Amino acid sequence: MTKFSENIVGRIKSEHIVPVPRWHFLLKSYVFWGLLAISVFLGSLSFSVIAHLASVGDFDLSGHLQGNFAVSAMMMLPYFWFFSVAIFGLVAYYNWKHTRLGYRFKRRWIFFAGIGCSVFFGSIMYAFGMGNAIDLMMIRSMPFYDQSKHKARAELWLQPESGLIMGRVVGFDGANSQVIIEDEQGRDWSIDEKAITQKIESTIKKGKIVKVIGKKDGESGFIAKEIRKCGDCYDDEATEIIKDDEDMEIQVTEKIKIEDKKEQSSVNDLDIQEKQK
Amino acid sequence: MKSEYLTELNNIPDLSDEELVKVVLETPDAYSFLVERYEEKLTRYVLRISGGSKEDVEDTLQDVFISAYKNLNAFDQDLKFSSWIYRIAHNKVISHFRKITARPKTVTYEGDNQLLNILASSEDLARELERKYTSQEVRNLLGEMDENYKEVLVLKFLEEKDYKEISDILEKPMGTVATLINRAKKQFKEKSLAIETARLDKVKK
Repeated sequence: MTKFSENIVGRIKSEHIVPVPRWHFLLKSYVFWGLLAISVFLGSLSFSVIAHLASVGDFDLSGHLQGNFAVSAMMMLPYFWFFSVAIFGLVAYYNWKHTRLGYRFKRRWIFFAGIGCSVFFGSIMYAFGMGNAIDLMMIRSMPFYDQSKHKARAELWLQPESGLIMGRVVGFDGANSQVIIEDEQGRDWSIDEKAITQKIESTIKKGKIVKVIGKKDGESGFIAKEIRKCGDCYDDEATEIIKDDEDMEIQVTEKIKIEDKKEQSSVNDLDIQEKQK
Repeated sequence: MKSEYLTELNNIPDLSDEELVKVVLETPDAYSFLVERYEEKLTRYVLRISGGSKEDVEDTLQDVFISAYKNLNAFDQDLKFSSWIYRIAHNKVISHFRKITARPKTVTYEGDNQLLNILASSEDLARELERKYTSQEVRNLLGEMDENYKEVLVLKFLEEKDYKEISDILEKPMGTVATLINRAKKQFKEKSLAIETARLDKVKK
């Protein structure tokens, strides 16, 4: 035994140094792997929302925009979710770096692999409708998220001069074959029904929000080239409420009719009784 | 179980480092054998990369072995033990020496003219260096080099580690290690050419 090794062993004994238990390292390793899995999962969820927003988005509007397409396209990008994918990509990178084999791969490959996993699993999640569900959940639970989405959509779709309007279906003008929609600012627009294709027909219901591409015609007229449903407006509840109202209206009307009938029949009965007298 | 390890204690010279680690976890006294195996190698390595005094190096080395003992359970059997303990030494040198304000460092170990020979055998240009410079000049050259470059040169040409081992020690991808080695050689040549030019100027005057 050399003097140096003797010193080391002596110090270990005198200071009662013992090896750190194996479970401590295992736990640390599991924590990093766990966080890595969570960050990839959350990144995937974020990507599924991006895919959902892209599918219901309006990235084909360049032809209809009179302004700067780059600005409008930027407005349509789901920044929040891109940011979210990038953040979870970085967290995944950090955790992978701290795993046992983390150092063996180049930084850029780890980062892109993290993003790649998010894209792959995110696409699967999107296919199962999770992007839509997460978006809806965020709208309901985070007012800020809802407001910013609403603002971005309104900025793009409240441009009647540029041929873009969006609003809630509030009525039908059977005489002129027009659909009446009310935009965010409370203005009513009359849209020619001709633009309603079979594909969109089921969407044109009272309470539904629709997007219309076309040309402004006078003060409140709008010649529609295309009417599309607002894929991410989540207006089904509003429609249900209106539908319920309509149902109630129908029920009330039916009730009135029945009561009228009853009244009529009682009047008739009275007439008969009087005649009999 | 204990008797099995006691039997192994008698065969220690035949045990690999990795097997010895298992023995140490059962019989702490066996750690002295591991220390002895790496004492000289690590002293040389720490001296080469830190340029510290012998006392500083000894302190660092004590920390290296104590830290290695504490973390024996973290030793990954997929790695070579030498790579693992060199990695600890590398990290300790960084925390001990490099946080001290930068100062001109020279590599003081006597065997460092090896580097010149090895570099010379690896490239024709470097062969010329061997003829032109003294080992002291080579030491000065190494002392002037960037820390990263100096360390890969030391590991590759003095410690004779392969790319995989260097990658495990420095915790960098193998591709990065290869790049570092190439850049280190380039910087070494540039610095040696600068010395050559300065020497020629001196002769002219």
